[in-house]
Amino acid sequence: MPLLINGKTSVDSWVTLNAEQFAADASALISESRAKGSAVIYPIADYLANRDVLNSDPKNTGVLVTGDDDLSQLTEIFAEVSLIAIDFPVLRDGRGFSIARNVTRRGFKGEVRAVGDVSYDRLDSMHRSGFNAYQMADDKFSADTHKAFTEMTVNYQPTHLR
Amino acid sequence: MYQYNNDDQQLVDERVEQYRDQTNRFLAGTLGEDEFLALRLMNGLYVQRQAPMLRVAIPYGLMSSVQLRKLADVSRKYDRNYAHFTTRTNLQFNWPKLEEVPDILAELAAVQMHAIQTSGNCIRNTTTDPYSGVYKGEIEDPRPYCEIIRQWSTMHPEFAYLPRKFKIAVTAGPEDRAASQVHDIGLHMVKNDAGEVGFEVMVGGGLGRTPIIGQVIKDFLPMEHLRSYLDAILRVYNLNGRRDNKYKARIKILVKAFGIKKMAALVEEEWLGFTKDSDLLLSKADIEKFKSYFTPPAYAADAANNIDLTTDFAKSATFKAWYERNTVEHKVDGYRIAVISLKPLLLPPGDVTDSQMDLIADLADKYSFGEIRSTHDQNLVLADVKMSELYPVWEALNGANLARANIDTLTDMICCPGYEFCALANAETLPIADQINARFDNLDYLYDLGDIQLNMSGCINACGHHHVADIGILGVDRKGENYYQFTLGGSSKTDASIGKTIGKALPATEVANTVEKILHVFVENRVAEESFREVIKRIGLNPFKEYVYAASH
Repeated sequence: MPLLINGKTSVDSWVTLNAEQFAADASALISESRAKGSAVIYPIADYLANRDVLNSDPKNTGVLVTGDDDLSQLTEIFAEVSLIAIDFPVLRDGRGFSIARNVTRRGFKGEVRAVGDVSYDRLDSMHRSGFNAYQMADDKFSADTHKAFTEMTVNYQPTHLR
Repeated sequence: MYQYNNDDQQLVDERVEQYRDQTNRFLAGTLGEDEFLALRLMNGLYVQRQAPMLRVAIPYGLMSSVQLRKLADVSRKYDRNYAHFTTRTNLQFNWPKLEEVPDILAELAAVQMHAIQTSGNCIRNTTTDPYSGVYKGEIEDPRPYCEIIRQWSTMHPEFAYLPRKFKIAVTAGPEDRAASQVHDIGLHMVKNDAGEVGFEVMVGGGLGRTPIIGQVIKDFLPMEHLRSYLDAILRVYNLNGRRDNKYKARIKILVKAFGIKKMAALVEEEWLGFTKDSDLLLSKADIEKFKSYFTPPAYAADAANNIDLTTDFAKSATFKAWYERNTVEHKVDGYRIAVISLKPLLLPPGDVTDSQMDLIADLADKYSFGEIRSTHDQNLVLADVKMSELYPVWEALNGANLARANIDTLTDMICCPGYEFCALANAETLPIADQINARFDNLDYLYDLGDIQLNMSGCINACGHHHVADIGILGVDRKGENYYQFTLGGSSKTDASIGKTIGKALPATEVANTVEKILHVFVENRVAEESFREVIKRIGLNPFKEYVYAASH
């Protein structure tokens, strides 16, 4: 899946674990990825449940959040992770925009990655809401994708990025 | 009125090209149906039963003669020589071609118009009092604040995929001509004890399947915090509103679930924590800048010297009736507010032809400083007509079937387009409106009845605002046949209330008969000059129910 960062395609060095994988054998997974030195994105609930084990390697640790997750502790773990992936489960679900806004204005400086239903016509709004990385399905990505960020050059929201 | 600067113009121009590209990708097959649906809706394009429908934004119901002429022109060039005004004070074209919409938008952009956010799950056009700036009882002209809201909400990157659509209405004082209490947010201009002007903020009102009157979330919001507080409400809604069921997704359901206290606390936390002192804070200079676009026009100093209309009244009793019913006191002596009725006999409420639009634009230029307003009950307004010039204005309107003297009477009904034009509708509305019009065309009878609001919707989504009318009519489908359910006692004004159903739905052929029965009970029970609403408040619904559903009359 193409990953877009700063308007360019990038190599995705992160592995995303899902909740099922985690439920099957959490400790084995953790020690395996530690051994390989992989950078891993954990579902936030699983991260929080294993926080005392996972909080020692911010560079290689990320969390995945959705609109349904309890995000009350998200700010607390900013220093423990270098990536926050925010899921757009379906086109019509716009919670991710506000989650990204909350993450960046509360001071998170790492990668804020849009995952899920990420497509051309929403990239600019995502950028303006605080995202800086976009994981797109192969069929949604093209050589012209970077143009999405320059279609609109003026805006009325001084609190949101241009 | 507000004039675009270079940035405003660039934004709408870029939006046109962005939409053109989206349309091209859809037509080329590279943009999926589902995704294009969301994108075209956010730009006002529906696909209806017979053709697409394009809804053009008229921000807070204010347009210039140049803009109205352009709308007339578009209806000639791309549509069937007419258009329809809506309860959001917008304008709809019923027969555009999907592939020509980008060209229509480019034409509109040339006169500072657009279709941005006239549909979709985003912040819609802000509506306000059609008498803004000219009404005696107003606290302050609300339009500068409406323009502030327009800009803040236009292409807000966070709020384009809300749980559901979001509507804001603004009043200019204690009188409510914007149905503000049945809006997602209603802003009431108020003065506090210190004499400062601000807004009382209501949240969680709405019509549709679950009609609810909004509740006060903030007693007094100073003007400088207008954007920051709205931003806070929207963020709380975007993150917490239901997304599992579109019929439970409006903010009214969230407010009901949380209770107004918790809702207010969450918004307050967001506001105080982040938005209040952010760049959304408006400086005095910011507000003054917006106000400078809405300064009073150059009223003639001698207008008050010519206010005796005796000669004009003697010329025409019809003019006198129009003056009494369709004009309103102006805050400047010698001027009147003239309401143009878009509720003629036997034609669809809210519709206007290209030649009528041209004529109204000409009248605005000649007699009303080149501006026209659209109202939430689907009429138009020339806000600044000299009393001495009312007669020629009336004459011209009368010659174009635009001077039916029925404002605020039974036949000044709010009515959605119904089954013929809307894919959501279950029942016809326009033939029923005709039926009512044909029965109640006697103006003397209508004047005797006084102010009565009759509203009609062709389905439960309630675009015709039937819940908030003295007499509300809802069309329903029963095995392919249209039936009509009556609600009584609703209001969208300061004493807003949701009407109550009086009984089972009745066949289409019985609608005018039923209205007649309802009016009969009203007239029989009325004391002196009591209004319909006052009678309902005093005697309740039972006498109406009994008479309408009695075995025979």
